[in-house]
Amino acid sequence: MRVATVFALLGMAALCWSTPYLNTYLKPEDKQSLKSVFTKAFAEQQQDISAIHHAVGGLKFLGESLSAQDSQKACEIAKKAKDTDAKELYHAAAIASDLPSCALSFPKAQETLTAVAKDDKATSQLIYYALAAAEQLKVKVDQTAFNTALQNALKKDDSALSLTYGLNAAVFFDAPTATKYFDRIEDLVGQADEIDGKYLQFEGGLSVTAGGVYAIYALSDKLNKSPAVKSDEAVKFASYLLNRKSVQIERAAFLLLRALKKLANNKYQVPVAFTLGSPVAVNAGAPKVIVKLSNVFGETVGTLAVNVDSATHIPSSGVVLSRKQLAKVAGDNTNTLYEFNLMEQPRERGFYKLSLSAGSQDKRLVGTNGAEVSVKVMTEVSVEDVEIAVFDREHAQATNTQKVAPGTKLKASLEADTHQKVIVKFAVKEKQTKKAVAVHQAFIAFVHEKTGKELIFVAEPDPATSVYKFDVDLQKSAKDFDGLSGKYNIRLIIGDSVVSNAIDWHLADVSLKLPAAETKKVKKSELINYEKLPEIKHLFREPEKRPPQVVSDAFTAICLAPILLLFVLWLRVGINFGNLTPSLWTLGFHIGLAAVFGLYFVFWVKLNMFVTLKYLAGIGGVTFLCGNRMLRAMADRRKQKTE
Amino acid sequence: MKLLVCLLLALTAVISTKADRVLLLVDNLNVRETHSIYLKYLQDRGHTVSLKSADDPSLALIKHGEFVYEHLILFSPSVEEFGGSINVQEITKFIDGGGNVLVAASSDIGDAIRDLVTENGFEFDEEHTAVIDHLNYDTVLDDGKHTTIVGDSKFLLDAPMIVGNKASVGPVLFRGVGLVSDKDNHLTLDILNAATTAYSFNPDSPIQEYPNAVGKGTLLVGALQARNNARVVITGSLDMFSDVFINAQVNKVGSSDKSTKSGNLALVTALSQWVLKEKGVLRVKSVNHHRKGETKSPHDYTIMEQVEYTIAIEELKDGKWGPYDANDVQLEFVRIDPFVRTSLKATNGNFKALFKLPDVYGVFKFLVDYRRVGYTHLYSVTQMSVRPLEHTQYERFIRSAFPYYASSFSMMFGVVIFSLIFIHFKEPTAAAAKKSE
Repeated sequence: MRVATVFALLGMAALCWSTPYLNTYLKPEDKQSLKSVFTKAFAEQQQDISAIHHAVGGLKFLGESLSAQDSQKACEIAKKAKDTDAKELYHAAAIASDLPSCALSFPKAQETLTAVAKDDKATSQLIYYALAAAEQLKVKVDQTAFNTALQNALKKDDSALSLTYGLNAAVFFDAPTATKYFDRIEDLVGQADEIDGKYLQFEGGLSVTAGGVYAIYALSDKLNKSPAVKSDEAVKFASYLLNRKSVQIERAAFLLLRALKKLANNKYQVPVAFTLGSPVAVNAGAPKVIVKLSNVFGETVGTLAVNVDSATHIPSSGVVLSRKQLAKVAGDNTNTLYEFNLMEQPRERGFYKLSLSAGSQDKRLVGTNGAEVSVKVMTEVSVEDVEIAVFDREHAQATNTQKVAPGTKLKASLEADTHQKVIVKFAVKEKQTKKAVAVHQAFIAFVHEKTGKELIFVAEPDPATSVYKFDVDLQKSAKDFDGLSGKYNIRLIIGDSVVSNAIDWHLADVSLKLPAAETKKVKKSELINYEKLPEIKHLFREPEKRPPQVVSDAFTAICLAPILLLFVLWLRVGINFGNLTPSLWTLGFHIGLAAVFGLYFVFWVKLNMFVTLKYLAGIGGVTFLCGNRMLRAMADRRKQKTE
Repeated sequence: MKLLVCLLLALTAVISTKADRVLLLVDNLNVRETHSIYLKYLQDRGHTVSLKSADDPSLALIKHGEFVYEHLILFSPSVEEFGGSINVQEITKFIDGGGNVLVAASSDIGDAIRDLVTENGFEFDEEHTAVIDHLNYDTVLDDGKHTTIVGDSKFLLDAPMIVGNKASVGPVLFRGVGLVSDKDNHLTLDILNAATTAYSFNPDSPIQEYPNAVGKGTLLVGALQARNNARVVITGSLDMFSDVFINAQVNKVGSSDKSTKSGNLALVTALSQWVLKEKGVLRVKSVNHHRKGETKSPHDYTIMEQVEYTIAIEELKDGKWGPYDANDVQLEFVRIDPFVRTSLKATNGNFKALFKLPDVYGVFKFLVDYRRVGYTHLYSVTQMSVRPLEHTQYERFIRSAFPYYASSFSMMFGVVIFSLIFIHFKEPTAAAAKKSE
């Protein structure tokens, strides 16, 4: 009874407190991307000694060597460092130590570095730079003075950043002095923030975390003391660092690599990464699951005893396998790969969760328990007993059912209208066992051949027979088709994440006759037109039809005829100017009258009315005066005669 | 009084010469590393990118009534509530004010992004759903659920301004949530559709109900250009912009070709250039119209005159305004309805048309309403009046009217002659008459 309780408690604890494990390592492509970060920084930031330092250092961590020319260039840059600046000295010294041959001489180095210890305002960062530079330049500095300065700096500022540099600096002290800082590891780890229960990081992000992790293990290695870091914490730090492996800043990348190198190779805690070395999909053809166990760099951690603690079929939660030892993969040079055959017995298709653990003589290895990888067992399916029918919607049962052989298309083209139903039935079976399978995707697509417009239906299995059935009542669905008549391709789409042969099968063609749907009227204000519109040419009003020229010319002649008649008749009657009284008035009147009509002619040809009226006033006045005088003179004469 | 009213309405966005400010909101500051190629690209294009956490309490898009940023990029799919003064209303206001927005989501989608997208004529599928395609997934990047799908570039919208050169884009890797467009919103554009075999559902639960997006109706990328030319691009995949997908080789299931590089970089850069208004921006430089053979705009036109209309259009190219070239710009001559619609001939950014005014008088508008997919909407209106013929402008020498002219003038002539004869005629005496007999 009591034992059972304990087990129950343990089980519960296991449920809510799953052991963290590392599920990735620095893969070749990650190394490649880091390498490109460094080479780019090296090529583009020649002026920045810090960038050169991190690029050269980073490439060295990756095992890439610089060309002689580039080494020369880097050395030149290091030589140009200002020896009055501790930070520049630090970078220069680091570059020199990473290059095969690069001798530096900084006459003022001793002075500059010693001054750092005396500076009250020196931060732990600056002290770290000075100590590191002194170490690499082989400059003797006063350790006690630096110790006091560092103590002071840490007293002033005990943030994660300051502590990280403090611990890094402490590595350069002799053992007794360095021991004083060893307890600070616990302070630093205490400041770490946990994210999602998977990662641990320090405030300040990647560079601080990477620096801190490096310092912890470097100091522990130096003092030969196990650090106050729980194995879970070590794994979480490693997870965090690996999660940030796509970093693009050369400094952070350098620090990341330095920390990972340390995590891969130190005396106390080496996190082990469990990764799947084979594809996620497992099937009868490729039955083996390969697991890769490595350090964060993907290198071997020695030969391990690897076990599958359990394999759980996720959909059914059933444990299908427990406690099975993995064998080493034959011919594996990296000494990291282990394999086992999951398909010894036929396995239900679906996802499997494999819980793994590793045992080793090596006490340094951490994160070796509770690792999980997931694989899926794939299966091949076949679609069988495909029947297709078009029948009257009033009927309950399908008449004239036609079978479609697997992989072929129905020869006859079907026809259907709104009085009819289209029905498709099929069974999805596992190819090997011929057992019915429920798949995630069992769709029937109607694709209009001309426009490519498609309508997709979901086929549902009959719960009793697990035969998939789909039917469409064309009267009810006409509006889903948007009233688009014409030839449709019927396609059967079968797919599932555990089915290795997804199917997209063109079953048959059907010509649908559907009533045209009403076109929705779009308001003019809502209409969006992206096309060129048809051109509009204005239709000009047609001029009125005119009579033929002959007719109008003839009538012109007729109209002119009376004036001829006048002259003819006058000649017959005889004319004289017997009453003519030659005077200026008479002349003026007749010329004036002729001028008035002449003006009318000019008006017709070109003048406008106002101009005409103006002229008319002048001519008319003169004519009136002359006429008056002339008539008066004639009247006077007649009077005289009668008297 | 000035009869001619010249009204120029160029609805092109004001492009400031200073660097554009972009606010990029993320769920996780890791994006700086996982999406570094894309971020670097943005900076290289001269944008000032402010990368902030979506729940940063100091966030603001509008300060003292002015926009603090020109563009907003939301790489924060799971956000439920933005920090600071940003919320869906404020982002909508930002778009209404001409701001451009790029939204990238994932299957882990929160309500804030869903609401925002609904405001813009699209709809995301629910949380934990993903676009699944069992026939078009990537065998290397996929985790086994067939949700890392390979989008075929032949399903891209035919709009080089938005998607770049469709033929050279290549397959696009996508992992994320499905999108559907609202059919009643006429401004939405389907940029990239999924294949017929795709659907959007929760990969871990069986299909009990009809999926929210199936087949080609499932959008991988959608876009919208609002009436004020503000641009919005929406995609369900934040991973589409990631370094991993950009650098990946595409291993499509069932295909033995392993050498195809993913088209993600080509697509996301083209989309970004469009949404950040680096491309497809037009403006009217000048409008000029006059009678044929003249150079100055007249006070008004008379019906049936020959008129020459010129509009100079400029396009923004690499940050500079240059002449725009196209052969599909049309001019309409409108009095309520268009009377004339004619194509404009382009020479070095000057679009010209010569046409005869209709024989109808009234107040007309020269209207260029140019809307093409990918370009900003160009709208230029110039109003002016067309009057009827003056009485002196009618035809004067009509052949068929010659009988009338002839009779009038013969009558006039007759009056002159008759008055001359009649007034001075002397009745002959009886003797004289006899004598003549």
